[in-house]
Amino acid sequence: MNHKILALKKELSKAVIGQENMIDGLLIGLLCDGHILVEGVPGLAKTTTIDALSKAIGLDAKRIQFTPDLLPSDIIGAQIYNPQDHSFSIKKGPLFTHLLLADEINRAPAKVQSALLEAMQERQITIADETFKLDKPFLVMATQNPIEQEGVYALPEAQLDRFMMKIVVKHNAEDEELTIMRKVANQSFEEIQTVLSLEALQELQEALKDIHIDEALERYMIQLIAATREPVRFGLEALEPLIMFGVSPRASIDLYKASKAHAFLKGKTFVSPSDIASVIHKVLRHRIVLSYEARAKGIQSDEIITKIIETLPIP
Amino acid sequence: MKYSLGKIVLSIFMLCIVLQAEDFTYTMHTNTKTPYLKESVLLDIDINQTNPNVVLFFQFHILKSDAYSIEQLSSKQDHTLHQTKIHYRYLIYPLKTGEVHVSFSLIKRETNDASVAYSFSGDRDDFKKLETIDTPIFISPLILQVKPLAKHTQLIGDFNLTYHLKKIEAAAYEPIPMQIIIKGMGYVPMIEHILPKEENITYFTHPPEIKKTIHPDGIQYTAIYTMAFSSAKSFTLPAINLQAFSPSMHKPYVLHIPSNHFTVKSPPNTQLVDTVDMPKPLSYDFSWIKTFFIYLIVFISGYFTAIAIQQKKVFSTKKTIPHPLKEKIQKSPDAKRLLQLLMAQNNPLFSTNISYLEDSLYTDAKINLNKVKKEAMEKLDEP
Repeated sequence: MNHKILALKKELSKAVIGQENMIDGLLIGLLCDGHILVEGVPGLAKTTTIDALSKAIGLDAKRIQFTPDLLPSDIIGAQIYNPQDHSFSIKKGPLFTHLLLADEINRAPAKVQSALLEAMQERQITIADETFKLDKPFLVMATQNPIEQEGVYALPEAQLDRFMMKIVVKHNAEDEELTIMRKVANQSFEEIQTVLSLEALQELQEALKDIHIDEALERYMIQLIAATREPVRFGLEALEPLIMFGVSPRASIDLYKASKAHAFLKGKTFVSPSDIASVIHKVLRHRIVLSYEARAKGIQSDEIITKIIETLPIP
Repeated sequence: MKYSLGKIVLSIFMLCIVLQAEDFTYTMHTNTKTPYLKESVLLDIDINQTNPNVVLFFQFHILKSDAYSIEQLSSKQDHTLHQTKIHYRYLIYPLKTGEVHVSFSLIKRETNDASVAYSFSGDRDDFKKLETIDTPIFISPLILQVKPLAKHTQLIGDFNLTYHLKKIEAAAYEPIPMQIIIKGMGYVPMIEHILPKEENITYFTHPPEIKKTIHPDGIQYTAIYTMAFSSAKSFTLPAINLQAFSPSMHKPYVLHIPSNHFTVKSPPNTQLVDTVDMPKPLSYDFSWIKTFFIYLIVFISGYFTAIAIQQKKVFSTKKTIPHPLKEKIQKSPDAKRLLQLLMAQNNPLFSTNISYLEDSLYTDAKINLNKVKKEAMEKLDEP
């Protein structure tokens, strides 16, 4: 593994016990300039992870708690009138940061979600007549609480597509939870040190380009993507009534980038089928639109992805 | 002498307040200022515009009070622009003795022809408000010196009474209907307990039906008291005397219902048994036994089902259900197929197995497929 990545992970482990799945996802997002959607019950160290990552890389981090009465100007900023000199000045909102934790994004109405997702896509914000480019890197980690579904505004498919990966965060293992309990009780968490500069991060992003991926694997990826759109063509007749819409071209781009980043994180110089398999659930699960039949049967998109991998022969 | 003088004074007494305002005049006229308690006082109000150069409208009402009640008899309003003429006629019933102040509210609303034309140009969907300059006009309260009535006076006004009894013979407990009608001009003839309470008589009553007919000089009320009474044995309903007072005659009078005797015939005891609605049962009702057995069967089947489920659980725990993935792993024909299967599980448990398999496939490293399979299957058994 790259020594810089190793140092970063080691530093993160001072504050975040376990949750490697989420940390790997965040690092992949950071390396690929992607955004991460996290689904998990409260209290699984989502804020802690973002804070730790920002400290370890020396980046700005902000958190927005999304609520039903939030307005777009609350997150992007607004023009403020100054009565002393009769002029307007721009007050930038919390979106102007490197790492943003958008907590419970589905609690805010569609107009606020749109404002955030536009900034995620365009990486720029327009307030009144002025347009501001967002600093690089800009990573949004949005969270959704899977338990409470009353009074929430579900993200539409087109907006979900803007997220590179959806990570499902689960509870820690018992041993990990014991460690957390002891560390919190004794307040024995170590101080996070900055171990990676912004320039070093950009070098790592550049290094991703050198990760080799075989053409056969590229075609394999395209076939995996195509199988979500036309399952019958790949002998997956059983999936045909379960999928309403397959994934978009953004999914193939993100799967390609995420596979490379995963191989890079594992210290490999090339992408192997297992790298693709390691990220494909995260990249595709929020993009597959399930049919009513699938929902009625309680089938998750993860099961469909598993079936596709099981069926399509690896190169 | 005293009364005739009062009568003359009352008949000609006129409260005439004429205010020569700039734009209009108003006059108020009452038929009396010394009424009896609850006697109706006739009040006429005339408002006439005198300045034709402006457009005037008026808002007038008598302020509400616990000391009197108000009934409006008539309202004539001529809103011809520049020549507004309004006439109101009210009845005021003083409800307290002594000095009673009747207060008024009058607002003069001044505007012009252009504003009126503009307001008329609107419609239901584009309502245009009439712009006016509103000026409250002070009107001195009307002061009434209210005279008390004799105690136990139940009716005030000129009333007559009629009553109807359909029968004076009835069976025991059979209701005997009765209707009493009080009709005339005066204060509303509402009497709470019109029939005297008698033991051994059961009364069936409800509030009277009051009908109101408005005449130019007053209100005629018709109060219809509908009731019934019954008893187990013959009884005499005592005479009813309603104490009334006529303000026009200045003297009390009595409305009288004579005493009536009712003969109640008791039926023989055998006839008291209801053989129509509650006939003797033709056979004994054993339906409860059926219900009892249904409940018993439901209980027994529920009890044994619970036991059976428990037994099934015990047996099922003893059975070893083969893990579907284990079967698939076992049946994998080659390393590639096994790699594909383990990759698809998205489970970090198999990361080392996947690594071995990839090495064997892409770097020609030698592996024992059965050993990899065995290790993968063992991982599934780990807690």
